[in-house]
Amino acid sequence: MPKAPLFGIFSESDHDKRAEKHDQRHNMSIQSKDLRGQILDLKTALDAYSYETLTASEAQQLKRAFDAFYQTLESRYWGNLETPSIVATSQEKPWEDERVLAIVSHDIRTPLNGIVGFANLLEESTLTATQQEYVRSIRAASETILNLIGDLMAFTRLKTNAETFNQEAFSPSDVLHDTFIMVQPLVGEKPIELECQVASGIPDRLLGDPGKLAQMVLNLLGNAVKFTSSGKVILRANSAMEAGTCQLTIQVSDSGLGIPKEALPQIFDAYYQVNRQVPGLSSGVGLGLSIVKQLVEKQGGSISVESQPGVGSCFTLRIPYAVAPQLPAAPVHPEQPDTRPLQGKRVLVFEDNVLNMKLMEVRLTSWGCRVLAAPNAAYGMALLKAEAVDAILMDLRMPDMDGYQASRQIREHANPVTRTLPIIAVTADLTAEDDQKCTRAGIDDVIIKPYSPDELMNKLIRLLNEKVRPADQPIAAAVPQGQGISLQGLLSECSGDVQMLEELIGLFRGNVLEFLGRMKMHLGAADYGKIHEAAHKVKAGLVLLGAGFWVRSVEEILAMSRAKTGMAQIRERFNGLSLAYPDLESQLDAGLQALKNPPNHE
Amino acid sequence: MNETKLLLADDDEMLASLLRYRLEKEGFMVEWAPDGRTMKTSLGQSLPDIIISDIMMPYFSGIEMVDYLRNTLGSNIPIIIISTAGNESNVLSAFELGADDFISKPVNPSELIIRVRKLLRTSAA
Repeated sequence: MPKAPLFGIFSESDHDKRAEKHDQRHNMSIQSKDLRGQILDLKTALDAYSYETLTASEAQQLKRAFDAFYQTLESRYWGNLETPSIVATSQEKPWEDERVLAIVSHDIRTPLNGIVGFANLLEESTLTATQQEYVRSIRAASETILNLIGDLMAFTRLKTNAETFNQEAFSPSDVLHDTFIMVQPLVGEKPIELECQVASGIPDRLLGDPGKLAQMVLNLLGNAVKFTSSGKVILRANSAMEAGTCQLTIQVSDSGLGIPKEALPQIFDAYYQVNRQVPGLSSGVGLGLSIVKQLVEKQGGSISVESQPGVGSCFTLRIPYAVAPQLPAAPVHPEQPDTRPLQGKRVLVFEDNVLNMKLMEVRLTSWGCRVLAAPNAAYGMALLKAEAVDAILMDLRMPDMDGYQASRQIREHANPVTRTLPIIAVTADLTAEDDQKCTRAGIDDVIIKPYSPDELMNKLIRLLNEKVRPADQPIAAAVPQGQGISLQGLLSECSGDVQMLEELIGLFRGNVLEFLGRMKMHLGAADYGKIHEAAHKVKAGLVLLGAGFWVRSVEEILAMSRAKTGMAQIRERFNGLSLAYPDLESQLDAGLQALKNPPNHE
Repeated sequence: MNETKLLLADDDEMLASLLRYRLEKEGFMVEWAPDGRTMKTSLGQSLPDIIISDIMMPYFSGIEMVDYLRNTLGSNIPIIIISTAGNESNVLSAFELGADDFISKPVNPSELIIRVRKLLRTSAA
C-alpha cells in the first residue's frame, strides 16, 4: 500500500488514533465535499467502530467489505491521480472518461451495497446507543456515496446515449406526491416548511417515464432543501393541453441562498458547483442539474431557472406527455379493502435500484408493513435465514441472480415455512414466455411497473390470506370488545369515596393520553429507552382499573423495549391501543355515571 | 406529638394521588415529588421520616436517591423502593446501596401502610 502523505492519518499510533476517534465521534457527519473525502470519512467512521465489543460476524464482514473496496480504489484509481476528485476533468478523451466512469461506478456500487446491507443488519441487532450512532453514520456515508455513484452512472448513460426512456401509463400526481414525501426526511432539524401544490386539472394518467420524472423532481427538491437554511420549499405542478399533448409544468421554488447572476448560465454544466467554497454544503460532484437537463431535453422538454441571491431560486421543468387512456371512473373492486390486514406484516423486497426500493419502502410502511430491503439476491437469501418474513416482492432483473432463480431457491429452501412464502414478482414488462417462467419458478403473482398502490395492496392481502399458517398471531389492529374495566377495585381502595375516585379517574385519563402521545413520539424516534419509561409509568393505573387488554399490551411493550428489540411489534401494540382508547373512555364515563346515579335510587 | 413525615416520589400522578389519599387518612403527612429533581431538592431542604420512591423516575432515579441519601447525606432514614417486574437487578442494586424494603407495582395501599408502619417501628427502636 503506497504511503502517500494523504494516507499519513492511517499510520498513527494506536494512542493517537484513539484520541482522534474521540474527537471524531463528534464529527461523524460527512464533512468532505468530494468522493475521496467521503470515502475517507466512511473509513474513519468504520475505524471508530469498536469491533472488540461487538462479536457479530456481520461486523467482520462489514469491515472486510470496506477494506476490499478501499483496496480496489487505491490500487486501481488513486495510485497516480493528482486531482482531488476521482472524476477526471480532462476534455481530451471524453469517451475514455465515460467508459472509466462506467466501470468504476459498477465496481464501487457492488461492495457499497454490501456495506449498506450489513450496516442495516447491524442496526437490527442489539447495540448500545453509541454503537447505534456509529452505524447510522456508516449508513449515511455509504448512502451518500451510493447516490453519488448513481449520479455518475446516470450521467454516463446519458452521455453515451445508453439511457432508456420507458413509455408507460402512470399517474403524475402520485409520482409528485411520492417524491414530496421522500424529501421530508432531508429537512431534518432545519426550520423549512415544505408545500406541495398539485393542480387539480392535471390528467390522471399520462404516457411516459415515471422513474425519470421522479428522479428529476427529487433532484430539484433535494437541492432546494440543501441550499435553504430556513423558510419554504414549494413544489408546484400544473398542466396545459397543446395540440393533443399535455404540457406538464413543474416548479420547485425555495427561499434559500440563491444563485449569483454570473453563475446562472453555467449551473447546468457538468461538474459545476456554485458552492465549492462552502464546507458541508456540496456533497456531490456537481452532476445533478446537468443530469436533470439532459433527461428533460431528451424527453422533448426544457428546464429554466430564476434566482436572486439572498432571496431564493425557482427551477421550472416543462415536459410534454401524451395522455394515456383514463381508467374507468368506477373502482375496479366494489369495496376498498382496508389495510389493517397488512399491519405488522414483514415484507422482504428484492430490488437493486435504490430509488425504486425507497419508493417501495415508503408505500409499504404507510400500510403498516415492516420492510426488509435486499439490494441483491445473495443478501436477500441471507436475510431469509436470519429474519422471519411474511411475503416477498421480487425484482425479476437483479445484478447477481435473476428473480426466477432466486424464487426457485426459495421454493427449494430447507425451511418449510420459507418454502411456502408468497412471492410477487415485480417487473417492467412481461411476455407470455416470462409469465410461464414465473409459474415454473414458483412465483405466485406478478405486478407490472408502473403499478398502482391499490393493485399491490390487493395482491399482497389476497396472497397473505390464502397462505395463512396456523402459527399466525391474531391481528393486533382488531379492536377487542369488552375490555372489562372495573371501577369497583379502585373504589374500595378509596374507601368508597366516589369523589376521590372521580379525581383518580381524571388523573388516569391524563396518564393514558400522555402515554399515547409519548409513544407516538418515541416510536418515531425508535427510542427503546423512552418507550420503556412511558410504558412503565402508565401500567400501574391500568392494573388498578383491571383493563386486561391494555395491561397485556403494555406488558408486551415493556418486555420488548427492555430487550431493545421488536420495534415493529411495539408499533403494532401501540396501534391496537390507540384504536382501543375511545372504547376505554366510554367505559370510564359509563362506569362513573353508574356510580354517581345508581339505577335504583329512591 | 409530631405527625410522621413521608416523602413519596413517583411520576405516576394517579398512583401517587391514591397512595397519598390513603396515607393521609392513616395520619401521615405526605409530600409528593413527581420526579427525581423535586425529590432531590426536597431532601436537600429537610429530611422526612421515611421515603417511598419509584425505582425509575425522570432526572434522578430511585437508585441514585438511595446512594445519595446513604452515602452523600449519611442518613439512616428508612427507604422503601417501589419496584416493577423486570427491574429485579435494579432493586438488588438499591438494596446493596442501603434500601430497606421494596413493594412491587401495582402497589396495594394497605400493604404499603403495613410496611411503612413496620419500618418506622424498627427504626424508632
